[in-house]
Amino acid sequence: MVLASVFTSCKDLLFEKELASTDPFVNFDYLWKEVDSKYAYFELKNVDWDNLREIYRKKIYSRMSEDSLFNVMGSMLNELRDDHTNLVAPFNVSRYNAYLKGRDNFEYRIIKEVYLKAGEYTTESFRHGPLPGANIGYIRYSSFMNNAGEGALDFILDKYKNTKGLILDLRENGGGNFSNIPRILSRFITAKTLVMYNRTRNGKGRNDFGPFEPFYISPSSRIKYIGKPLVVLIDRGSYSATTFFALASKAIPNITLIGDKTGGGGGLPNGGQLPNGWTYRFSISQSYDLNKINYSEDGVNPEIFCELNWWDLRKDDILERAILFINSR
Amino acid sequence: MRKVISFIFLQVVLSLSLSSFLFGQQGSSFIEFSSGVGTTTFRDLATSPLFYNGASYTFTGGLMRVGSKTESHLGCSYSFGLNTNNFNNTYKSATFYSLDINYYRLYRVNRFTSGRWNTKVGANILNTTNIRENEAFMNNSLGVENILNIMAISKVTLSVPRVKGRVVKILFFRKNLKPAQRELSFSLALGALNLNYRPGYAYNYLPQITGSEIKNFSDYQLSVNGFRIQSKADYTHHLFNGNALKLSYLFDIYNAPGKYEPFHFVRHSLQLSFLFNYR
Repeated sequence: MVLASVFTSCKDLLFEKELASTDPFVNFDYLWKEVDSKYAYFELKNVDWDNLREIYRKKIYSRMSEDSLFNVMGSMLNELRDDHTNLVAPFNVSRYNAYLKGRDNFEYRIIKEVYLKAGEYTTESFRHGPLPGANIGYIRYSSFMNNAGEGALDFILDKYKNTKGLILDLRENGGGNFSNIPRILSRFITAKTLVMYNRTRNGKGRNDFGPFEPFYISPSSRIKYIGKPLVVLIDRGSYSATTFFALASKAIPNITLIGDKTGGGGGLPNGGQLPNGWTYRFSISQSYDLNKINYSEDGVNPEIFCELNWWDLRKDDILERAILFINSR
Repeated sequence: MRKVISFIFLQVVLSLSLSSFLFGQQGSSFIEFSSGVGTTTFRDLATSPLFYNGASYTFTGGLMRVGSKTESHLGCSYSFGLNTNNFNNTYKSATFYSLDINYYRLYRVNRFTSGRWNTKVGANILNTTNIRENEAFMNNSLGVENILNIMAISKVTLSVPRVKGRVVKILFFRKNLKPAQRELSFSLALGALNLNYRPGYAYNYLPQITGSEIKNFSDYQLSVNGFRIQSKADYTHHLFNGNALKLSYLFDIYNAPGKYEPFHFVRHSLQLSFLFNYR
């Protein structure tokens, strides 16, 4: 007991002091400094982070409620216009909601009632079916959080091997597991393909980044879909891993993006905790196309822009445009 | 992860190869099995300014050679636990797994050895690999570090034999205590050379990717800094057949600064060991 008591005091002597604090100023300054030292997109988004500190710190006072503190810090983070940037408290989560900056371009009910009324398949994480009278396969993948199983991909690509094209619908796919990107794209190439570069913050300067790290897709040894068009449908709700997928697709010749530009999320988010116990995350890396141009954080543009006409829900205009594109090949 | 597992495997292989060198000495040889419970506290300033506390469970296996002039020990310890922080009612938890591999060798210091007192000094090599998971940190949920310390160690042992048997009566409980060899010892190890392998600047990193092959830990950095202190108090009771039971209190504290933000760790552990004498 004596030894335990003596040694317990060693922790206080040998380590930096306890940093837990509910002081609003302490937490504000901690968050601001963390973002300042590691956020990846100040330049692209034209954000004056020093100026925002001045503006938002004036709203902080010692006896403010936690709800008020959350609103101030959450609003400051939303100035980054980045859905990979969140403040998480037990009572709330701050979000930028990038998808609200554009039109709603997806209603799955139209797909089911008009295009898949003969029936749809659910194969693991995918919902799919042949489009009537078009000899085109339609595949819905709603989230990269769901595993893109190799067996499921084998089944689907085998089922539609005799079609003249495929449509992969990634609208309102908010992202998820990065490893599903190469798993899907590897089925549409025949050679190892460089699809993008990424680089991560590595210093306190806002332009301090590490080297450009290449991202290659290697062709799958399993069933592939080659020599015929794949159209990928995207919109503002296509975020994070979906944005990476869209950016990678630009490097693959037989893939065409149709719809509205993606919501962004081209950076890898980190995660951490504030002195008051709340958690946060923000983007710490940038993604670049093959010309080393950094734009995906603001969204990847489609090759063919198209929007859903909410006045006529008897058809999905974006899907119709994709069918027209494939038929024209 | 493959790099970490390969490193641990190499450590185990090296340690097992050392064991033959270890036991070319005089003295009694033991195989040690022990289990323990205790508390751990850690803080990884790269992801959180808060300390996480919790209970830990430890299982140890080792080979030991103890003589009057020299002592050697080769051991492997596996610990795990659940650490939590509930500051400001924001409960967060982190699972914690740790693998320690150590080897020490001690030599008697005649100047401080006489009668029932025995003092030894020597060196201790200790490698610790930690794996932590805290889902609240989202993409930074996985924390991995490797710490290697070369330590100076000293150990003082006092022999307290029970020369005559005696009878102990507590209420209705009666026990005949036979004569037995017993020892109290205290050891203190201080890190002389401390290496740690910790994440890079942004903690998370997008490395080169080829298909599904992602080069994890490509941003990790090896640093030579920090400190480690380990102390142990033992009560060893030798049995009539040459085996022994040992009750130990272990204190372990280290700071692994890395190149950017440090990792702090403290453990208190109470351990019961069975020493199986095979030579």
